Amino acid sequence: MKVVIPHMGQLDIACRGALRGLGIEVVSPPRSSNVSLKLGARHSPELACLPFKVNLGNFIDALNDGTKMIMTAGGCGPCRFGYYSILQERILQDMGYRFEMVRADEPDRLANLAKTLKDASGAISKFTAYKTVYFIYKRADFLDRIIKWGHFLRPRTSEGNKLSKLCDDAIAMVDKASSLKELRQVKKKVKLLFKDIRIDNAKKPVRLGLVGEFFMVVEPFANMDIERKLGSMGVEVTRGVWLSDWINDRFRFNPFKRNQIKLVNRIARPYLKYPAGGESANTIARTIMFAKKGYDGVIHIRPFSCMPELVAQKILTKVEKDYNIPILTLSVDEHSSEVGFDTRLEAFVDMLVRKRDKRLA
Amino acid sequence: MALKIGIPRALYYHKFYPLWHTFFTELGAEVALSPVTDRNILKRGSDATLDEFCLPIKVFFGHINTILKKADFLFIPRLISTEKEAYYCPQFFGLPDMVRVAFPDSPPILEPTFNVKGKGATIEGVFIELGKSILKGKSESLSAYKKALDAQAGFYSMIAEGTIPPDVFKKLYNNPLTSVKKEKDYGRTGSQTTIALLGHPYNIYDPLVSMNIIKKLMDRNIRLITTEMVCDDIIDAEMKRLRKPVYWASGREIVGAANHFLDSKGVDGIIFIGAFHCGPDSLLKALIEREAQSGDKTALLSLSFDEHSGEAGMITRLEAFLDMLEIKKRRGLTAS
Ligand code: SF4
Ligand code: SF4
Repeated sequence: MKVVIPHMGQLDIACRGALRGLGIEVVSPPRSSNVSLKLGARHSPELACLPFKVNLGNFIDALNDGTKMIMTAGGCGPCRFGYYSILQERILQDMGYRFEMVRADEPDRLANLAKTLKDASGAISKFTAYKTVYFIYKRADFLDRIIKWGHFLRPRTSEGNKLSKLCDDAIAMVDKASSLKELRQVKKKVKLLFKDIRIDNAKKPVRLGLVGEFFMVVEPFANMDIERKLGSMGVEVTRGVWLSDWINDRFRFNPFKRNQIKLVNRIARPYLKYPAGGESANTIARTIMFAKKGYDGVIHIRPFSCMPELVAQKILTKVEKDYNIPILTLSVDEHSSEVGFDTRLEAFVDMLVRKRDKRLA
Repeated sequence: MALKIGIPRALYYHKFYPLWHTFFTELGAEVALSPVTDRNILKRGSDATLDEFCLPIKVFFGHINTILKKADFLFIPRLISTEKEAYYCPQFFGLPDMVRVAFPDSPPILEPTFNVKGKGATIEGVFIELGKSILKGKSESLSAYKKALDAQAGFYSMIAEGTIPPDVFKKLYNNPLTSVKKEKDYGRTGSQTTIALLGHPYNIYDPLVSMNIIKKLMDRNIRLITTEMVCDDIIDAEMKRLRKPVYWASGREIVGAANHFLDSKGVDGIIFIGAFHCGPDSLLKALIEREAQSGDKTALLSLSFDEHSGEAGMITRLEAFLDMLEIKKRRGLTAS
């Protein structure tokens, strides 16, 4: 059964190899292109948040390509995401598509995930579901590690193109691994390959934290490839949001890793007593954590009119002063121009470099 | 001297004021209510927030600004969930925190958290705690809470009888919220047009946000049914018909009422008022509009306002809509 999952960072790749064994073939629509985004946006409510429109573009692409099943997540609030799929289904039906949509409502409960997998593949036991989600986690965890290596290496190497190709190749290798054993072999190979990148120890990158709404941080199409851009400008980026953390916080596959939700809620509490949905508490807490670790600045990226991140942004104005850390907020929708976006990034980075150099001088 | 509790005339004031007002006054406190929304209040609210916030949140911040110096405490409840089925919009979760950032010199904030979905206190417990924070004992608070519940129930029953909330407030608190017509004009006369006016209470009942649409409709002798007048049974039944129930408190009522009136011929038309930049509305509005276009449904006019919306544009659309209803009605009469 061919199934489409909306693009969200490496989510499709994390899922594909794990679901293969269940007879589910995850197809990846072209990494969201401007064409499908425009199409998605045209059929979306004007003021829906950007992830809604990008998802819809993905679905249209996949349905046009003959896919008949959409697999997506739901949720029961408080933000818009949980209701996305209901409206998306309606829109696609009104457009005349025939398809089936399986939805994991409250994807943080294993029983719900198991049911979704069952809906997509037929019979499946709870144990198989658990094993499958565990494998997704292991894959996501390694994919995240590949990205982290990229974050570290890019500002320190002059072999930018080689690094980009290596990252893409490594991700493709993970994509092919269909079992835990194969994944282990891939890990070994990939680690060796990364040793191959030469780094220049004289380079002292400025360090930037990247926080914001989940989809915007992890999805390179939506964030206009911000991580690679910053890396090429000589910035070492550290993300405040990871797919593997999301999974582990809910299923605790790695019990030694702290529960990140509890951690950030506690750190954000002096500013935000109750998390306002989405990543609001995470955004505030990570900014504080970056500041305490002496980072040079923080970039806060969010969809236009994103409710939780607006709450966070208002509160960040105080964090910025209290911790004396520069913050750049980028609000993105389908009309955002990449040129303007890049200009703002460059100006911010220049400012940080100057500030750092002055401090060190 | 009595303690002064500042309550902004914004957001869920439009629904829960009887509860809050009674509770505090029963405990011997005085309520300092902010004035009716005007341009100046909106301006102050915009200055204190960020561009992309929805209009009602901006209005709310403007109201806070007007009572900063007039109260010993600000009352800003943290509304998370007051029923098992629904959340409030996430922006409500962080309201007191945002106010602290926007107005560092604000008086202390009373910020009881209402969250019946969570493991925390019951609503009764929250009110007892709230009483404690203004130094009132448990039994005192409990009896004030009981009276407050009665007041809120009284408010609901007046709405159920067909009085719109601003008029109820006017009667109960002598609130000059909107100058609407006298009581006796409400009864439906044979051919009177009836319109369901749907949207968040703070959009519908705030005269500035809604550009006084209630008065405009009543001046035309139109009978109004607003979201809060639709009984829970109808909403619950409508939610069951959906692929997935709406999980926002006002959203449930709005979509439930809209779907109900789209199918029933109980009203001549439906007007939906949304706020620009409202997260929930952006999706729910699309659902309602799509439903309205699927088959033989009651006529729908959907309007979205932001701070730059002009009244002229709204009046034009409103009149066109009312004319259309009028024509439809006449045709209906001749046909039968
Ligand atoms: S968190 Fe932001 S992007 Fe996500 S559903 Fe909510 S408003 Fe949309
Ligand atoms: S529900 Fe909409 S109008 Fe109300 S506070 Fe949230 S975003 Fe604003």
